[in-house]
Amino acid sequence: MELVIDRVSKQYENHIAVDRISLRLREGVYGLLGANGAGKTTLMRVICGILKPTSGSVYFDGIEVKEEGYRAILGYLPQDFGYYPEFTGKDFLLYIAALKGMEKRVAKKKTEELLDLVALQTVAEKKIKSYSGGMKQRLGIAQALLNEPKLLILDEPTTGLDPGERVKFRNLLAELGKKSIILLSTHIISDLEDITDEVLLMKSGEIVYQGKWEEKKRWVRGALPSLFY
Amino acid sequence: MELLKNLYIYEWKKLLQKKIVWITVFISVLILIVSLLSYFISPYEGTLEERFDAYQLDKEYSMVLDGRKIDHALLSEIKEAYKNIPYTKGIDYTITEEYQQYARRYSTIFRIVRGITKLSTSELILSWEPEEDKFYEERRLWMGTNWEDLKLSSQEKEFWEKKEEQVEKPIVYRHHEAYLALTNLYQTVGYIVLLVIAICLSGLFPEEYMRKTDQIILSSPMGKTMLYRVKIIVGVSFALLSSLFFSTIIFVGTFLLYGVNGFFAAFQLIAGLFPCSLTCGQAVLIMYGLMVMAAVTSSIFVMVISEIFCSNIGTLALFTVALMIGMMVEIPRQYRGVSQLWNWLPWCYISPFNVFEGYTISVFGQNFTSWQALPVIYLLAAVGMALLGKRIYQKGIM
Repeated sequence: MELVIDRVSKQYENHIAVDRISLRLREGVYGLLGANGAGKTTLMRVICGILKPTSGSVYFDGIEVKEEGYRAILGYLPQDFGYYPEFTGKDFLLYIAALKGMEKRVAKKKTEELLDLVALQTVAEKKIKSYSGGMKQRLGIAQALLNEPKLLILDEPTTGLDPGERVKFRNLLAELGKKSIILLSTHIISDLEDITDEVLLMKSGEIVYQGKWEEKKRWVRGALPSLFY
Repeated sequence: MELLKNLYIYEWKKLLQKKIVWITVFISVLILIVSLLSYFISPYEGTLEERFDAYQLDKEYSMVLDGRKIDHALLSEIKEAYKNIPYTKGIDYTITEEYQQYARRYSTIFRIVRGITKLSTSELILSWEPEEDKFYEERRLWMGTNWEDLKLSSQEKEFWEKKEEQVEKPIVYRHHEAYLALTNLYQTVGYIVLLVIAICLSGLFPEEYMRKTDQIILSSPMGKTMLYRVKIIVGVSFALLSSLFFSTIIFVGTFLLYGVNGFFAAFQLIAGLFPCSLTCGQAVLIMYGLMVMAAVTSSIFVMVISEIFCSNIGTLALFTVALMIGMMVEIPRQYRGVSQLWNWLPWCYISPFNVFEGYTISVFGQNFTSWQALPVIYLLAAVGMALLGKRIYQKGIM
C-alpha cells in the first residue's frame, strides 16, 4: 500500500499554495503541521481529488486520483465539515454510505457500528442541527470511516473534541494506522506526539521537514515558532 | 440500480426538508384557487351569489345552443336578438332589459362572432348584416392578414391553408366553458409552475457548496458521477410532478365549477382564427402537455445556471428577470427569426397565443407546428444543457 505524490503544485493566479511536493507514504499515521495558509488544506484537497493540481500527479497503488477506484478507498474529513441540518445522524451516515457506493444492508450495519464507536448511538435519530460542535465532529469522523478507507485524510479532526474524546480518537487512529495510510493535519501538537509515525512540516507550500516525530521532536518543537509566524 | 434509487430517495428528502419548498407550494396553490374562482369573486360584478346565478343562467342559455351550427340561420337569430337592444355609445348595453330578454341567450356566440369578424359591438348591433358565406370569408381574410403580420413564408401559408381546409364549416357550437377557462388560466398556471421550479430547484446544486458538503461529495466514488445524474433526475421529477400537480388542481377545479362539456367542441370557438382542425380538449391537452415539457426544460436550465453561479439567489434573480422580460417584451414580427426563437423559449412559450401561433419549422421540406416541433427541440436542449452541467459539476471546485 503506497500513496505517491509526485511533484504536485497548485497555483492560484499569483499565489502558489502547494509548490512541487513529492511524497511516498506507506501504512501509518502522518501528521501534517504548518501555519494557516501554509498549504495543508490545499494539499489535502489535491490528495482527495477535490482540487486539480496545476502540475504533478497523485496515485494510490497505481490508481490515479481522478479515478473512481481511488475515491473508493478514500475517507475524508474536511476542515469545514458540512452536513444537512434536517437529517438525523443515522440518515446522514446512510446517505454518505450511498455516496460511497455501499450496499444498503452493509451500510446499515456499518452505520450502527460507527455510531457506537463515536458514541452517537443515543442521538442517532435526532436531527444534526440539535448536535453540539463535538458531536458534529464525531459524526464527521464516522462518515470518513464508513468505507473502511485505506487512505484516510483528516483535516483538523480534533477540533471541537473534548480531552476525553481526543484520547479515544488518538487510540482509534493508532489502531487504524496499522492497516491504512492516515494523513492528518492539526495545530494541536499533543495530538501528533503519541500516534504519528512521521511528521510533515509545511511552510509556504513546501514540505520543509519530513521525518520521525521521536527523532526530531526537539527540532520540530524548536522550529515551530518560525513555521507559524 | 438500487444505489441510484437510494440516492434518489435521499435527494428528494433533502429537497422536501426545505421549508421554502412547502411555503412556495402552499402560496402557489392559494394563487391558483383564487385565479380559478376569480370569475365568481370579482368585487366589481355583484355578490358571489349573483355571479353564480348569472353563470347558471348563461350556462342554461349555452346548453340550449349546444350542437347548433353557426350558420346563416343562427347568425340571423343573433342579429335579430341584438337588434332589440337600444344601443347608446358609452352605456353598458348588458344592463338593459332588452339585452336580458332577447340577446343574453346568444351572448356566448356573439362573443365568438365578434372575435372572428373583429367588428366592434356597436357595428355588430347597428350595421352588421349576417351572411354565412361572408362570415367565413371574413374569417379567412383575417387569417391571411395574421399570416402576413407573422411574415409567414409561402410554404407556411400553404401548410396552414391545407390545415384550414380540414376545419369543418359551419362551425358547430358546443358548450365549452371549462375549456375556455382552462385556456384562460394556462398562462397563470405556467408562470406559477416555472416560478416554483426556479425557487425550489435553484438551490439543489449550490446548496452543497454553501453547506460545504461538496467536499465530501466530490471525494466519494458516486459523488462525481452518479450524484449528478440523481440530482438532475430529481429536478426533472420535481418539475414533472409540480406541473402535473398544479395542472391537476386547475383541471379538477375547472371541471367542478364548469362541468366537463366541450372536449369535442371545435377549438375555433375559443380561437376563432385558428386554422387547424383541433377540438377544445385536444388543444387544452396540447397546451398543458407543452407546459410540462417547458417546465422540465426550464428545470434543467435552472439547475445548470445554479451550478455556474454557485448561488441560488443569483439563479433565482436571473430566471425571474428572464421570466418577466418574457412576459413583457415582444419582438417585432418583422424580425421573424428572432421573434420565433424568442416566442419558443420555454418561459415565453407558455401562452396560448404562442402555442397556436402560425410559426412553423421546416425539416426536409416538411412543416411542423410549434407543438409538434418543440417537444423534440426542448428534449434536445435539455439533454445538451444536462451534458454541459455535467462538465461543470465534475470540475467541481477545481
